[in-house]
Amino acid sequence: MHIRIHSGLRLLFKIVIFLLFFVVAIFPVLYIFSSNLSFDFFSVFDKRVSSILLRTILLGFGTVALSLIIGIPFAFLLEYTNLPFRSFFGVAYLLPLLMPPYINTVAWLEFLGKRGDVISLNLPIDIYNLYSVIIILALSFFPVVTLITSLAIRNIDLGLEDAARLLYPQVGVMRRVTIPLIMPHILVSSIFVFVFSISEMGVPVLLMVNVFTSEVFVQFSAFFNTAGAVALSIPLIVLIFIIILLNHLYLGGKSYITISSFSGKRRLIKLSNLHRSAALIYVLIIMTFSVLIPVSVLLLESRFQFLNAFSETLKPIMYTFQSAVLSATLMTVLCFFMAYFYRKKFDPIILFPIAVPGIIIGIGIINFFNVDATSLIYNSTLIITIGHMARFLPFVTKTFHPFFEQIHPSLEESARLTGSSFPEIIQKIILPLMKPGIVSAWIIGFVLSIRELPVTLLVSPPGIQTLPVRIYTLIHYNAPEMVSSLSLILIFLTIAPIVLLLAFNRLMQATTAKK
Amino acid sequence: MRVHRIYKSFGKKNAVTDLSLTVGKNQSLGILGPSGCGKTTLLRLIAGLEIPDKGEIRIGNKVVYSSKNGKFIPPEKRNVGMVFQDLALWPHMTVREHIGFVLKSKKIKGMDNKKKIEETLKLLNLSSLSESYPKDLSGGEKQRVAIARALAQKPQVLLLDEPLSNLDQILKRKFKEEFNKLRKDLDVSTVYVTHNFAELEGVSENIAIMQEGRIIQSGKISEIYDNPKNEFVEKILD
Repeated sequence: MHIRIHSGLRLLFKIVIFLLFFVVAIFPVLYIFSSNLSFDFFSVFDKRVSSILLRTILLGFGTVALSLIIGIPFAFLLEYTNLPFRSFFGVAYLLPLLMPPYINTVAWLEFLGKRGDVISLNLPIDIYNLYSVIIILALSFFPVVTLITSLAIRNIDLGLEDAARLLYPQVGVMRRVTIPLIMPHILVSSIFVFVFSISEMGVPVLLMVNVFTSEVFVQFSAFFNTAGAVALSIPLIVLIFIIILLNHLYLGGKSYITISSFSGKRRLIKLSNLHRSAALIYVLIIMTFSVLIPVSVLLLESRFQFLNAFSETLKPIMYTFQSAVLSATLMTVLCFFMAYFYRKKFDPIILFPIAVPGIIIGIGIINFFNVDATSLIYNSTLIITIGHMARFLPFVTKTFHPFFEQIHPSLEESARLTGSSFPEIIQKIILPLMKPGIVSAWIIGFVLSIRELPVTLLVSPPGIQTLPVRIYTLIHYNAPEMVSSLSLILIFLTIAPIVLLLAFNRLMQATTAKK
Repeated sequence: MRVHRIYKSFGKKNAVTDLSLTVGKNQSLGILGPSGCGKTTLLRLIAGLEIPDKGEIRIGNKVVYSSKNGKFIPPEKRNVGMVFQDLALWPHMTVREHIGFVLKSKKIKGMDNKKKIEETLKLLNLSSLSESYPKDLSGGEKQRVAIARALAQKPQVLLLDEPLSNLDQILKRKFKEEFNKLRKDLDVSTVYVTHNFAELEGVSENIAIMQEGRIIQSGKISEIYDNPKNEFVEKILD
């Protein structure tokens, strides 16, 4: 009897989680698609569409290629060699991920003298083209490749490399064993970068490059053509779905990374002084272009007025921070249970919003929630949180998957045999084991949410602005000092809580270790 | 093969201290010791996967490591075959590809390569499994692949690191028979490392007992059995 009550509670909870996920992340988008399917639906498709499609594909593959070129050697240098300041760069390479790409774009425009007035280099470089978009996005997203590649390398059973080392020199071992083993992971990171880059709106809009995201935005904001915007997003969705499907077909059970049984540390390759300096220069160049130049340009262009900017913009800053914290927390809770109950069962549905441009999600949210029954939500900042959740729930859920895979079902089953209830199992067994997963998921949710632009742009209630929206608006009024200051504040707001969280986490670990 | 007074430490921990041993051509030396005594490190030093702090290692007439004149021959040039404790089969290669990969490293190509692959597969009774991946093999089959891989290059030295730890009694006995048969055909010096004395019986003529990075007693099995140097040796032979 006892068991039945609890399994009933568990089932109810399981259904509620699914419904919540569905209502927030899936339904608004389905709704907007179904209500906009009409006969002149395809009227926006003309010759231009094929050129936009081509450009979008070029953007995606270009960014992936450049991210791999930058990111993979970076990972190998970090994991295999005695690169100078190795542990510093092992953390620092993640910084570009914390800087929104549209802010980097503003910085580069200022650097090249197209905007702002402090730096007047006026270099004869044309930045308003597809190549610039690719370069800026790759400099922002290469850490995704480096991160996933590093983790994969770290998890290779060292014996596999040693066995080959008896036969081949180090480089041969990397080429014939290491790279084939981490290939599935490199592929996954490529897909992330591909999806991120073709769904990025800010950079192509700022650099006036016509890809699907910017075109969808124009259709909606300039012509108020919802049906057109929706229609235009279909090729993008199909494209992303094909890529995800190909990935599933290729990977089908192919994960070579096993938890290593030989717990030794990889012996680092001692580079000659010449190679070591070359490696350092390589890493420094990448960090200079991805972090140092954008941040210094923003600092100069802000004329160090960010304290003034801070006090003037206190309200949007508060909104931004609050809503990012709230979104990250709600997403972590919801996705934790979504991943726990369903694992990868609903992957195609869960992944659906990844393929949908932010603008469309924003339109969906507006249409779906702008009714009397939900007017209270619709007119409050809560709608921003819902919008962010609709866009990012899949990413946060995906973060949980690998962590749950490492928890063996027997751990939970043995607890169930001793008669522990569902809440007890969660609290005493799953939560402690999932701590690193929860921290990662929250950080990812927070970073994605605090910088979110397209959805926020559409769903913000009158009189409420988040920092990204304020920056975006100011860009159009050409206020370089304010834009730069606010951009710096946004970067700081992104980094500070993460540093605090990680420091706190380490402190907690240290104190429990002492006990 | 000869190891002369080698030392190796990891940080403050001494893994191998002043260790010397000699294994003649076609001989098999068993090294017996509890886990953590430095057995695996010793094999890795011989293979060239770790660099000793001091001493000299010779394989055949060739010095492969010497601290005196700073000589270090990298592993791929030592012609050493090794069976790893957890076998370390490459998950992305079939059984045939494992052997082919070894032969390719020795620049054996074309028809010669094909013939050698078939030979090796047959030698270890793997012909019917040649297109399987490691994940589809049983424990005993994986074992045979690991040995085939180690032998395919016709090594001068064969290193076995607890090769039977994952096998049941029947397979263990079978392995011994097969291994002795193989050894007769191949001119190879073998170093067989284990924590289980029973595994060495009938496989190694000479054994060495290792404790905390040192060899504390060595000789013929019967000699040591009759005359254990101390309680530790007595206990480990039990």
